[in-house]
Amino acid sequence: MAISFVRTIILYLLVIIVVRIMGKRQVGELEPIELVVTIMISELAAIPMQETGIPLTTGIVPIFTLLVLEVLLSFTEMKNKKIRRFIKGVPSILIYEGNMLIEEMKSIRFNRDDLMEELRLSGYANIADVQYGILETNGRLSVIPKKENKPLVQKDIDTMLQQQQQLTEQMQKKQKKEQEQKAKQKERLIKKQLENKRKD
Amino acid sequence: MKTVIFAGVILILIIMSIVFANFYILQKVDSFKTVLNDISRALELEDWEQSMELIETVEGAWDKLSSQLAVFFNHGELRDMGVTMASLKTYIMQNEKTEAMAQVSILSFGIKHITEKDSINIKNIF
Repeated sequence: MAISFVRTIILYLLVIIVVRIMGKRQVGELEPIELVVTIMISELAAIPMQETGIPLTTGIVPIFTLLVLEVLLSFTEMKNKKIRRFIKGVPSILIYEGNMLIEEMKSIRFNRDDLMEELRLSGYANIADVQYGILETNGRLSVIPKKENKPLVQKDIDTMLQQQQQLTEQMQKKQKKEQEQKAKQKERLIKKQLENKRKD
Repeated sequence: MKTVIFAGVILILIIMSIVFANFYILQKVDSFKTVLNDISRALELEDWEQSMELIETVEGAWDKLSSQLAVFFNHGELRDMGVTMASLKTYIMQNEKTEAMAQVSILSFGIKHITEKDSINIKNIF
């Protein structure tokens, strides 16, 4: 029992170090390959914890090997686009201008219900409101709404305020011009009336 | 970049320790094989005193070696080897030639298995 206790402490610390070196991503944001590596590491750590007859090295060596492979592979991915595409795949466009791209959905075996669920989770109940629906390589659906359904952001408010200000300025200028023209017309009329009186 | 260098260092360490462990195990196991052959020859000649001396030497060496081998091999297998060695000693003490010879064969097979178990070949990989 004491051996299991000591081994658990060692493996726990080892797993913390390995996960820390591998990166800071959350479980929900893991790429499929990263998820597989995480599951394998947990399994490899669990076996020597329970079985005291198995040498600790049979857990430690594969864990470190996975860490090395993961780090080297992610480094290679970073440097080479082709390798990145081969390992992580490419995003798939499933919705375009409010229409489902059935062929694409078939090719990646993504059904209509899953798509609608993802859409609802993103806050869009109607597929017609969506300009682009893109299934990312980590399995999450990115939704880009149509222009008219885009939510209001600070930039929009700023633009609206700016337009309103411009309109107000234009209106003010127009009113000023009209007032000036009216004043001039009045002056002309008065002048004409005065001239007519003089003539009389 | 620091992580990549760290990973590279770990990779080199793993490879180095594998090579060292294989070399070390082969060296130790070879000396064991030689002693087992000597025991076998002594048993053939029914030289019980010589056999007893040799098995005591092997037993002492095995105690040291098994604690080192425990880092790489299943503890159950190593314990089985220890049990076989104890049986062999008893049979030699009782002057049981046939049984003792059988135990020597089991030990030889166990030693051979240890060296073959961790060697890189198609059989072990698959």
